Amino acid sequence: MKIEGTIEHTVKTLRLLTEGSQDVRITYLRAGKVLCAVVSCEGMTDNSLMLDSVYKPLKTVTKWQGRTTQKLIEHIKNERLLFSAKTLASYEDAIEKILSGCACVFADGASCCFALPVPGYAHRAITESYTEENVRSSREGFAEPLSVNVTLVRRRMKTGSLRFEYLKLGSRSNTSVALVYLCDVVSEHTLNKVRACLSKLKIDSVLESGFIEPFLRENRFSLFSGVGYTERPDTLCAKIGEGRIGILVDGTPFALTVPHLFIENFQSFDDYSQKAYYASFIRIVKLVSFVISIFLPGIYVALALHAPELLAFGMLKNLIASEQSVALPIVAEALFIQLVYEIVREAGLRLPRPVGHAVSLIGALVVGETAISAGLAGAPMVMIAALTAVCSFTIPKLYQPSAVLRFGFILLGGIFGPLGIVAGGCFLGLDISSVNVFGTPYLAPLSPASRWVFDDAVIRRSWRKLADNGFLVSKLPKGGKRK
Amino acid sequence: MNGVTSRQLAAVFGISAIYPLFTLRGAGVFASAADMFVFYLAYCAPFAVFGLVVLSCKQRDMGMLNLPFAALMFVFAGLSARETFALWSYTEQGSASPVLYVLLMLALVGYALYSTAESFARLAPATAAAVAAALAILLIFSARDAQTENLQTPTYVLNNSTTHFFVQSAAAPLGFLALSSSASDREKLKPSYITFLSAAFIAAVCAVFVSEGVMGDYAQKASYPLYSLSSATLFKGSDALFAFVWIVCGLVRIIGLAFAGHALVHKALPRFSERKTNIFALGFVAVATVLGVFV
Repeated sequence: MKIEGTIEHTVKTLRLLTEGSQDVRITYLRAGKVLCAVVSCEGMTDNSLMLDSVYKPLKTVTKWQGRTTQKLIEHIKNERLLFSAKTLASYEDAIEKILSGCACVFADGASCCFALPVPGYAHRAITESYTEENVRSSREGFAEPLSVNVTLVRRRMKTGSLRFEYLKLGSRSNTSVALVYLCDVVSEHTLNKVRACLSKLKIDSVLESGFIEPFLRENRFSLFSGVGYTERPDTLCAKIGEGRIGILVDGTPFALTVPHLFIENFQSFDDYSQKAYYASFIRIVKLVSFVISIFLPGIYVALALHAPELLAFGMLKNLIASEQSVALPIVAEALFIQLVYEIVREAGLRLPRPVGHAVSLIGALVVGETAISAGLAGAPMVMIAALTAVCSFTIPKLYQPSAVLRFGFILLGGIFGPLGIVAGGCFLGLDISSVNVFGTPYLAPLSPASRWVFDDAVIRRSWRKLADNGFLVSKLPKGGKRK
Repeated sequence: MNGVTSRQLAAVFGISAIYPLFTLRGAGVFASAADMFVFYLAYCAPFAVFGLVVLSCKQRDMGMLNLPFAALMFVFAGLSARETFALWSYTEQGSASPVLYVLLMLALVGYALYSTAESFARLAPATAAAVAAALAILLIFSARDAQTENLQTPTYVLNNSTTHFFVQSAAAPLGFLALSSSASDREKLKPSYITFLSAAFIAAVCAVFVSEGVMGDYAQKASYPLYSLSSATLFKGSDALFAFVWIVCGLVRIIGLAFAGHALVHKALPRFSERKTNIFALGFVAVATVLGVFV
C-alpha cells in the first residue's frame, strides 16, 4: 500500500495495519510548519538516540520554502540527519522497519517516508559460549542480536570477499536472517541451493535457527543432519574459510553451517591450537566414544542373553552373580537404566541450575546405589550406563542420534543377539552414508575417500601441511541424487 | 548407481571374495600343495569367467540375457544368506531363530535397496578396512603360536567345502560385473580390483597356514577354523568381536549380490522404474533366502 494523503490518513492506516497495537508510538511535531509524525516502536529504540538523530534535526527546520512536502522529506534526509536514512514508499515496508527498531518520519501530504535505524533494545552481552567451551581460543560467543553477530564475524575476517546476504523469514515473525560466506571460495551451486531452500520456506515464525534447519536437510528421515551449528564466531569463520555457508538468525546465538560433514562432529576449535598428534589422538578417542555410546549396552545385552559363551569366563561369572540378584530381565533392566538416565538428564537440564545439580546428585544416588540394592539393576549394567553416558558427552553434537540409537540397539541385541547388533550397525551405516548435503556426501572425505582424509579428518596434520593443501568443501567429491 | 567409484566396487568385490574363508566348515582349511592349488583355482576360475563376461558385455548389450545372470545373483544371495545363518547359529550354539533371521535380512536388504547402491558402496571401503584390520590382528597375534610340525599334508583334496567355496567365490565377480555397469570405462581400468583381490587372496593363504600351524589336525575338524582360531589364541574370550566382523562380511556380500541382481534386472527390463525393480529384487532375494535357510 503506497504512502499518500494527509498525516491523519497516514496515522490511521498505520494504526489499522498494526491492529492498534499500543507499543507503536507516534509523536507529532512540526518541521518548517509541515506537520510530521515520527513513528517508532516502544522498547525497540534508543530514546537519546532518537532525540539526537530524529527530533533535533527535525526541529532545526524552522523555515521551509520548498514547494512540496516530498522535497521536505528529501531535504531532511539529505541535509539534516547525522547518518543516512532509507526512503520508503509503502506502508508495509515502513511497518517492517518500525518493528525492527527504526524510526520512520512521515510528513503531511508526502508520498514517502524515511526510516532511520535507532535500535535501542536490551540484549544479552557477548559472553562465553555455553555449548562449545574450549581451552585455548577466544572467549566470545554469539549473542542474540543479528547485528552483534555480524560484527563478531566481520571483526575476524577483514576481507572484501566476505559477504552478508540479508533476508526475512517467517510470515509472522519477519525474522532477519543473514547468509554469510566468502564469495571467492564458496560453491555457487551450494549457495544457490541454500538460497532456493530458504526462499521456498513457508513458516510462520523463525524464533531459533533450529526452526529452519529441517528445511535445509535433504534426507528428511535420517537420524543425522547435514546442517551444523555453532555458538562460536571463530568456529563459524573457520568453516566459512573452508567454503561453507553460515546462516545467522536474529534472536539466537546459534549459527547454522552448511554443508556439515559427519567428521566435523568430532572436531573442535581447540584441535587447531593443540599439537597435531594430540588433536589426532583426541579425535580417535571421540570416535571410539561415539561407537561405545551407541553400541555398548546393545552388545552387552546381546552377548549376555544370546551368546554368553562369547564372554570371557571371569566376566561371565560376575555377570551371572549380578543378574541373579536383579528382578528384571536383562533387556528390561538395560532399557530401565537408560530411561532413568535420560529422565535424570532431562530434569537436570531444564531446571534452574542450582536445582538441576541437586537432581543430578539425587539421580546419581538413586541410579548408582538404590537401584542396585533394590534389585532393579545390576552393578555391571549401571557401570555400562554410566560409561555410555560419559562417552556420549564427548560428542555433544551427536547426542540426539546416539541417545535414540542406544535404545534401538538394546532392543535389537535383545531380540536378535549379535546378528541384530551387526544388522543394526549396517542399518546405521547405510543411514549415515545415504545423507547428502547439497550434493556433498555427509561421510566425505572418509567415503568417498579423497586426499583430505589424511589431512584433517580423523587425524590432523601439522599447520604447515594444512596451510599448503588448502582444504575446501567444494573440492570434495560429489554424491549422486537420492531416489 | 551413478557416483559409485571404482575403489568402492573393488572393496565390495574384495569383501565378497574373502567371505567364504570365514564360513568354511566341515573339512577345515587347506595346507598341502595340492590343496593350495585347489584354493588358488577357486580364486582364479572366477577371474577367467569374469574376464570373459566383461569382454562379451563390452561388445554388445546383452538385453534379456541379463536375466539368467540376475537369477544367478539371487541364487548366490540365497546361498550366502544360508551360510551367514549357519555362522550366526553356530555362534549362538544352535539357538538362532530362522524366522527372525529371514525377517531381519529382508529388512536390511530392503533398506539397502532403498538407500541406493551409492550409499551401500560408500560403506564398503570402511568395511574392507575393518575386515583387514581384524584379520591382521588375528593372524599376527596367532602366528606366534604356530608350529611348523602342525603343517602336515592332509588326506583330502577336494571335498564338499572346497566345492562350496568355489561356488561362493564365483558369485563375487559376477556381482561385481553387474555393479560395475555404473562405473565409467576409464574407472574400470583402475587397478583397485586387482589390489583388493590380491589382498584377499594373500590374506586367505596366510589364514590357511596360520590356522593349520596353530591348531594342527583340529583345523581340519573344526566347524569354523578361523572362528576357532580367534578363541584359541591370545584373543581368548574376544572371539565375539571377530564374529561381528565376519557376519558383517556376510551381510555386505548378500546386499552386494542383491544390488547386482537388481542392476541386471534393470538392464534386462529397462521399461520398469527403479522402484519396481527394487521390489522385484527384494522379492527374489526373499525367495532365495527362504529357500536357502529353510530348505
